[in-house]
Amino acid sequence: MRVVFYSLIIISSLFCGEYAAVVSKDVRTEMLSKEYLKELYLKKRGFLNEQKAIPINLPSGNPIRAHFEKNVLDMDIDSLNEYWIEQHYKGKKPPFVQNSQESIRIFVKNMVGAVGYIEKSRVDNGLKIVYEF
Amino acid sequence: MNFKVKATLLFLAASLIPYIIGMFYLLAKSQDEHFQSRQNELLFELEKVADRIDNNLKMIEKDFIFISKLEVMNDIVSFDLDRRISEILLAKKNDLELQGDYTATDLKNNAIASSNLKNIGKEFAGKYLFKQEITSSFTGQKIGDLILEYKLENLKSFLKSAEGSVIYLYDSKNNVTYFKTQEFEKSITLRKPLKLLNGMELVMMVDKDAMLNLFKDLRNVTIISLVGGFLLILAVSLYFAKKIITPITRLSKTAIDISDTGDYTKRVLVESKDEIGMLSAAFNNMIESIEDMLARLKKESENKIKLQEEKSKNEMLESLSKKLSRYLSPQIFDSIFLGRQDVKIESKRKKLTIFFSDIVNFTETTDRMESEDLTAILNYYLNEMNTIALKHGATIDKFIGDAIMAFFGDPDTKGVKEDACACVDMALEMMQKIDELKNHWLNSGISRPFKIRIGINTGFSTVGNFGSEERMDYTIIGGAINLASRIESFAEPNEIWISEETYLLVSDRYRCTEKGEIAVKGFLRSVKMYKVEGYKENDENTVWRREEKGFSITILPQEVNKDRLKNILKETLQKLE
Repeated sequence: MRVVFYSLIIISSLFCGEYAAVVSKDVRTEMLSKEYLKELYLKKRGFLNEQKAIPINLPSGNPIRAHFEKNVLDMDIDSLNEYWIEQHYKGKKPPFVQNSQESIRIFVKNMVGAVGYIEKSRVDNGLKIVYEF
Repeated sequence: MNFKVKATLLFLAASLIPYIIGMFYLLAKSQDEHFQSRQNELLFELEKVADRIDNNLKMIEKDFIFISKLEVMNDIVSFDLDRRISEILLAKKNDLELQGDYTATDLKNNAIASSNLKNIGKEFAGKYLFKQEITSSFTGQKIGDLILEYKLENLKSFLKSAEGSVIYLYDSKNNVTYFKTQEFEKSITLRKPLKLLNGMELVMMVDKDAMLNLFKDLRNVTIISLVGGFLLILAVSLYFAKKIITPITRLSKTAIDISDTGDYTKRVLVESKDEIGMLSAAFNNMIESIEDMLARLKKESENKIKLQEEKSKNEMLESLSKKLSRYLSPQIFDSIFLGRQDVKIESKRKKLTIFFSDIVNFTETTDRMESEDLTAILNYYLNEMNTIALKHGATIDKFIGDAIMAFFGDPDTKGVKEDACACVDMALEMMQKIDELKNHWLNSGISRPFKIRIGINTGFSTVGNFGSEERMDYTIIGGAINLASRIESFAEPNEIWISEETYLLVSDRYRCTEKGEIAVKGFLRSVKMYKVEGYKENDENTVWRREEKGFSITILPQEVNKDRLKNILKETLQKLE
């Protein structure tokens, strides 16, 4: 399993820039830095250009989420868990989850301030790419 | 109607009437109470059903609110592409076995998710029971609604009721009833509004007949217990009536038995100590005393008969002796009948004073008379003489025709002197009586009155019963008697002559004149005789006596009223002049 997992990671890393973090096109923002995106997802930063930011995850175990966590958040699953347990006591919840990229796409489209990550190919007009990984 | 029946009826009336009244009162009261309590029970049952429904709805509502607050509801924003909300809603519906559906709508009232997949994508326009706003977990803004369509069929399972009743729903707003499965002719209706179903009422309809059927059982039980009670009371009444009556019956039977047979030895059995027992005991005592009394009466009557027999014997004896007494001198009679002297051949020697009297020329005087007249005159004379003799205590020995033989000194004696004096007294009184009798005789047609002569002698003679065993005579024999008889025969008419023996005894009391010594036949010596003139004159009590032809006077100083006598004598003198 582990071999498969790592090989997947290696394969995914080969296709760099395949995924994109997106927001609604109504959000007035430029491209975000990796750090900025990370802070949004760790809920260290709550606003995106004066707009309340709503980070959205794919369900855990999703390879895109794993890829996102590795490449954007730079944290493995254990340290993330540790982080969110700590945050739980501070009254902060981890970003809520949408089951599929499609759900994320529609959600982000409908909800101004929502930030999600999907395959670049799924990005349409209603969305704006703020980061690529 | 006999007493047993009466007593039984009395007991029955005394116990049955209050019993029946009590039973009916109890029945009526218990019916009322039962009815009321039954109604309360039904109401309670209805309330319980209503509570159950309310609780169920409350639980569903809580659950509903909980679902609306789930984070997954954020999927409304993404049109629930992954059907996560629908899955939860369907699971919940199945879990609650609910008829009706949960639906989540977006702000435009389009169904985003539903337990009924057919609703998804359509605008929701149905009726709902609960509606809850859904807010996003990230902005807190409303993103849609959660709606529960609730079918009333869900409540059907709660509307179970006992037989004879039905529970159904009534929508008072729309005047519609639901699930009314039965109708009753007569019914009682109970209502309870449901808290969470606005305008809905829970209604219970109870069949009155079925309810009253319950009382039928009660009535049957009452009737059975009435009949049972009646039989019990009847049995108890009969038992007690019998217990009371039996001794009375026994008593009356015994009484009738006794009156029929006259057997007073019979008794009543006394078993109890109550009033009837006391009555029986008293009856026994009465019968016992009657028995005693009868026995005593029997004895007494036997004694009485004996006495009567004895009495009649005695009376016979008495009349016999009375008759006899006429033939016997009273002294002899008394001494024999008082048992002083036995009737047996016996004699003794005693000094007696013997008296003889005789009517002078009786045969000549009475020759021309009829025997009836003669008997009457003689009997009258003898009776008078007898009376005088008895007065002086003489024992009359016998009447010999017109002659009287008597003696003094037996069986009673006062002493020889006193006997002699008594004899002379008697002789004097007899003489006086003859004077009185003269008038009587004159009236009887006897022109020449009787004259008597009396002879008295005192001397020893043999006195006693003489004769044979079959016929005895109490008499005296001896020379003294013969002498007395001789003296009497010597005496002049209307004179009392006494022997010297007698004279010596009485001379101190009587005036006597000597008549000289007279030779008496059968006696060797001549006998000196005296004539009694009267009582001695110096003696105040001396009888004064004078007699001439055609005249006689006797004065008894003890008896006479002197003044009256003087007057009579004066009158006599005047007549003579």
